[in-house]
Amino acid sequence: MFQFEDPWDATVYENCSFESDENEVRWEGEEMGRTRIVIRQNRN
Amino acid sequence: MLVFPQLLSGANTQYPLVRTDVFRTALNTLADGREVKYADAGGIATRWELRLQGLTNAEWAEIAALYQAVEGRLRTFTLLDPISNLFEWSEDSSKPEWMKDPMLVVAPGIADPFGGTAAFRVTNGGQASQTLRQTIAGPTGFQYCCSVWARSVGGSSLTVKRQSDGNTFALDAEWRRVYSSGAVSGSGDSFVAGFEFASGAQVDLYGPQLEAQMAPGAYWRSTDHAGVYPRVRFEDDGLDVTAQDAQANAGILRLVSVE
Repeated sequence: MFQFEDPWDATVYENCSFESDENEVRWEGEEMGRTRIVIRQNRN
Repeated sequence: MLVFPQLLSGANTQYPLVRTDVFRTALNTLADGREVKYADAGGIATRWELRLQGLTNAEWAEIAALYQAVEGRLRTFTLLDPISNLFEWSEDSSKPEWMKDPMLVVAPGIADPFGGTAAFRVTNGGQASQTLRQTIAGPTGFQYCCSVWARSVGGSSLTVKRQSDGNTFALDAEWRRVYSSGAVSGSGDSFVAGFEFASGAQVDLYGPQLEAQMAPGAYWRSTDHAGVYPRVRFEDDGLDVTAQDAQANAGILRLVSVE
């Protein structure tokens, strides 16, 4: 679990985790990576 | 040693490439709705998707020969990850992976060229040259590049080593990235690279990196797992190649580490 600050409104959410067990990074070139990460807040 | 081949250019991949790091979480949902989670170490895997184009017939033949040798998905081979540092613990030279000659004294916590304190100061108090090095389980005859940011307020020199080869650099108080690259003769299953310090030398180092290519790439900080993957297999039962012209072949390879 970690704390996540929403970049939209700076709200800080406690007890967050990654939604997926997989992290795919597509490298178009050196230091040109692209990925998609979903973070969710765990409420229980 | 079965190993994924390098291209004639000395690189071992082309862009774009996709790497996926996979973890597995065991989830137990209780009757009251609470969730209990465990990290399942047995489910950790790394996948690569390599999109190769313009490979000569000889380059493709090496990949096809590896595919034949491992019988498709059946057996494993070694992959040197093209987007990783092949050195382990790039910012902690106290780890046992770093072989340190006895007269070297290493002090961590030195200001690095990017505003942190991840550099370390190496002092050779002995009467002979001393080395700080790692041995990786990669093929001896590959093209490698060993690099590091270095400086020396006292004007010491530093030799960047690849097996018995190397390049010596006269340093001053300014950080600069120095490297040594090339292929050495040999057909062994290991490769030694590192840094040699003359008697009395005092040198600050940051970001040591070893890569299986011609020139230094972006720096990858490494910890207990570097870019040498000894148990990788193909994910597909077929090996499709598209002949783009007489000496240009293309294919998409999907690989997975089964550690």
